[in-house]
Amino acid sequence: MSLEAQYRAVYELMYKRSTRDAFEQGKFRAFPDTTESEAAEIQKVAGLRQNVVVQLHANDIGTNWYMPRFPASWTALQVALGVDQRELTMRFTDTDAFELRVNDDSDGRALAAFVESQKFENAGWLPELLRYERMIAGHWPDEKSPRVETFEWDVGGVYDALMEKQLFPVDEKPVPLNLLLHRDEAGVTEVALSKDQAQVMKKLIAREPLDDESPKVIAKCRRVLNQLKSG
Amino acid sequence: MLIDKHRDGFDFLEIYSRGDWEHTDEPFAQIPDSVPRTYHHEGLDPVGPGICPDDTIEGCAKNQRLLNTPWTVEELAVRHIDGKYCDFFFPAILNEECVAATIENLNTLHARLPGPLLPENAPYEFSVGDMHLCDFLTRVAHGADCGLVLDLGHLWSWQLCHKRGDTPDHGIDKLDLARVIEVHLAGARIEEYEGGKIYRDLHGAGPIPEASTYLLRELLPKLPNLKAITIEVEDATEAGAVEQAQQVRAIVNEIRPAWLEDIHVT
Repeated sequence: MSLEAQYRAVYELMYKRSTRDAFEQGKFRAFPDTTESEAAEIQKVAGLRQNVVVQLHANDIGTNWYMPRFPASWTALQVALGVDQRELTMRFTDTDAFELRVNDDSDGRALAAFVESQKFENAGWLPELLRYERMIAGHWPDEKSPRVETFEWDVGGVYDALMEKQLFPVDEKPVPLNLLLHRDEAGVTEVALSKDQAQVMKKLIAREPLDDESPKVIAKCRRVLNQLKSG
Repeated sequence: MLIDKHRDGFDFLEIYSRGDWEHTDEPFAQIPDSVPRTYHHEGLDPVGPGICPDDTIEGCAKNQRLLNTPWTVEELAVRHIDGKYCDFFFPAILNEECVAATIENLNTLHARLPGPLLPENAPYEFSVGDMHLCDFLTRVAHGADCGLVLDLGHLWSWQLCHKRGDTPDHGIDKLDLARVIEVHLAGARIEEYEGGKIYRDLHGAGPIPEASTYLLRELLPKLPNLKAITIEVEDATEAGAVEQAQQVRAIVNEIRPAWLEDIHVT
């Protein structure tokens, strides 16, 4: 048990800024379940070298985990919070949300919990943007494919602004975006739908009656669905 | 590419799966039987407080069978703490408790894996515990009755934690060199800060540090059971990988040419 406590203490020093800050201010009390000599040995690690190592790894986590997978959300987070990647990672790893990760948070669930916990007055679209990036990366809540997803914001436009124009969207208003998403071995395909098309497409996929719907919209949706399924 | 274009440039390949076993059938099958190989696993966490999950052990065993290697390499580090994945190898805590736990874990792993497991000294960016790394390695090798993989850059990385960068072989007399079966070298980047230097593994995406080649020259004549010298190049360009292999081969040819005449990995 004691060795486990020692590793846990080192983990705290690496990933939890609140622990490191308490150390630096001489206000840290004790690591649970470690003897005095073990705690003394662990405390030798805290200091300038460890702070440098922490910052190197904070940058690694951003560069290797999040930027390749969710580039728009990761970039927007830095702008929205007014911090660089290293600072963002250190804030994130300090939270309970970071502990929700599975492996290297490849599906972004920990990052999503972090984003949900923040208040973004200048970027209310950020939670939906991350949901969009997670979905186009193939991380879906269930296996249903194809599916219609409605986003509360025009996340496609936000994504393009951030990634293609390097612009942080300002004064955005919520404009719903309907997407037909299809997932196969080649990846995820997305097709934008109007409100009417989304309604019909949902019924088509669920094999519900289409009696009240416009024949023109039904035909269009059938065509899109068939094209999508045939690749 | 190395197999197709540079088969004369290496004697064997060390295959690295990053601990994956669910997607290895196809890539492993592409390696011709004619290419001798060893296997580098990850995630068994042999220096942890307890044995790793069953599926991890079974995954390693699966990969061992697929590759049919004479031995498997595993870092003396943990990738998971409290079940949480870390973004780098947390190296062994260098104290008595960790020696005991590591020996117990390795004995369990040796009993459950079809082939031998050789523990490797992991990279250190900071070090916890007051035991000398060479002492730790010897104690583990004797306690678990196994060979060792000595990563020369990682050894230097530990010396750097103790401000002994100028003496990469400090305390080498504490290491039972007869236990060293394989030696590793790799490219690295050295981060300098006002309090010292930090070794960062680059695995081919950087030059092999002089401290590593110094250690190779010093230790080559003193390793009676050496069977493999591995240059870790998974992040290297084709030209970089070939160049580093030539660089290391030239040193071995100068210091211990007879060793190159034998086939050690079959």
